[in-house]
Amino acid sequence: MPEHHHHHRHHSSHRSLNGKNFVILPVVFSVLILGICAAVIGPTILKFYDMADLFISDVKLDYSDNYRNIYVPTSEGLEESSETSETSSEPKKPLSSKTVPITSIEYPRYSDQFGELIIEDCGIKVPLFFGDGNLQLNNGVGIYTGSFIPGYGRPILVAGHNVTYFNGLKYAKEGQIVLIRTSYGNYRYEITGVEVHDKDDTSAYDLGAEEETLTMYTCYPFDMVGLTPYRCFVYAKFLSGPALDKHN
Amino acid sequence: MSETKKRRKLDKRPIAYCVLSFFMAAFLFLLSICISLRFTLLSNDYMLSTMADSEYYTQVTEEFRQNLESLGHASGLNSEFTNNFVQSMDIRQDVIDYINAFYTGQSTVVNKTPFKQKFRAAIDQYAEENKKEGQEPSEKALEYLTNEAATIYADCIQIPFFAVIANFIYKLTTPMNITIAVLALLCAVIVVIIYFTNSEFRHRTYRYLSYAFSGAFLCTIVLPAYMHFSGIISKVSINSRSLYNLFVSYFDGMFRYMWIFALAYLVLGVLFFAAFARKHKRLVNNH
Repeated sequence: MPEHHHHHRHHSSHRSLNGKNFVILPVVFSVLILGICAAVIGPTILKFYDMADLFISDVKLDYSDNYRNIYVPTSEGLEESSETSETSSEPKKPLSSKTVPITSIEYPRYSDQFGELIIEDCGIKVPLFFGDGNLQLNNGVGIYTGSFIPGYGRPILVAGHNVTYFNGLKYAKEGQIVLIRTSYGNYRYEITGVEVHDKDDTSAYDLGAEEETLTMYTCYPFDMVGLTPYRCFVYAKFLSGPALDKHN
Repeated sequence: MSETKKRRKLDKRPIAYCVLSFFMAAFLFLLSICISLRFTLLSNDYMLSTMADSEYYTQVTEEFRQNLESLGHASGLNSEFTNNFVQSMDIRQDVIDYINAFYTGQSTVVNKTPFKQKFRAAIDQYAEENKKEGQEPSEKALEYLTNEAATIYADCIQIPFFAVIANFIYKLTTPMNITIAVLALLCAVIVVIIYFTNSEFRHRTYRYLSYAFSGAFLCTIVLPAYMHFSGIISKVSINSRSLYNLFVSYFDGMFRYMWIFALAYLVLGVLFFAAFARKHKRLVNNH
């Protein structure tokens, strides 16, 4: 009888394949195993996971050596620039009261060439970039991204190398005109002074100022092999150019 | 043994085998992680081969050239000088020496002295050849330039955060080998138990092994699948292109190991299920 019963049990268990167990049990196993792992190492991982936000961007970064050129020259405002250039020693007021809605312009992205910077008296006519990394400074001069673009009504800080694009700054003198041309307008500034400061001297410029000023700087001294912590700063005040309307 | 006790013991056997399958799935999962780490994170051969595959040496040399050129443009050096100087440097060998030093527990501080000596000799010669009246370089300016160039060079050789985990990597290699051996042994013991205690009904052996391998497959595939479909690795924000490519290749390779393990577990899980079904069918037909 027990022999028969034993046989009967096995016989009944062999009837069905019971295939769903081959799905349910592995799923249960994996949930339990991963749950235990999460409970054990989760608190440690979470700390790093929060930190990971600092290292993960929304999009894949572009590492190409090419840059975008969004600069399309406009002649608007150039006529009044040349007029003022001849009388640059006289007190000046902003000549252009025109405003440009900020939403109507293509705001430059980091590394874009969006204009050119011209100081005729210094023999400077160079591409202007947004950003002052190696790529930008090897191809022109660049606006520090912590400062502002022309027309914004706030300080602009432009860097360039003294061997290449800003070598001409050695000829900079008070009263000379700086022209910044962009796709949305032409801006004129007048040089007000040239000073040499240590690179860590934060009094050399004020990025928090509420007025539009232009500060250009490069390494100092010029035309000498060697590196010093000194920088040549050339300061200019705003003369004319369309203001960017930040509310439109 | 009474009939009731015998029956109770027989009733508990499937539960015990399921528990064994569960542990085996867990050990297989841990084994896949440990082996993946052992052959990637803890292997200097893997690091060096990933560097070669991701063209790290070429890219890091190009970055060094760009940085040095930029420094040169601020220091009275023309592009020709910096390009020629970079070509004369063997950055590849210096990177290999740096990586090997990590995995053998040696000092991981880049020795800048040979670079400084070479660079200083080159700029002295350049200054002599391009001397302008009244523009003699000061010793301080030349030293400052040399130190800046040496810093750029060391930054190119070093891998960020690697120094932080170097000691950890060096100390972890032996315990990891032991862990892998222990996990493999535990899996083997469970297989032996399941196999020999079901010699009468072999299909059960296959059933429980299928559970274990299928469970291990599901556990193992979660992380690489998440990384793959979220694309999180490719969105990492690293300024250097060479480091970015190295980082992506490095982790892709690491997760490739896990994909292979997951695939192997899946195949074994399916094979054991097929073997179970075959044996089961034969058994039912016999009865």
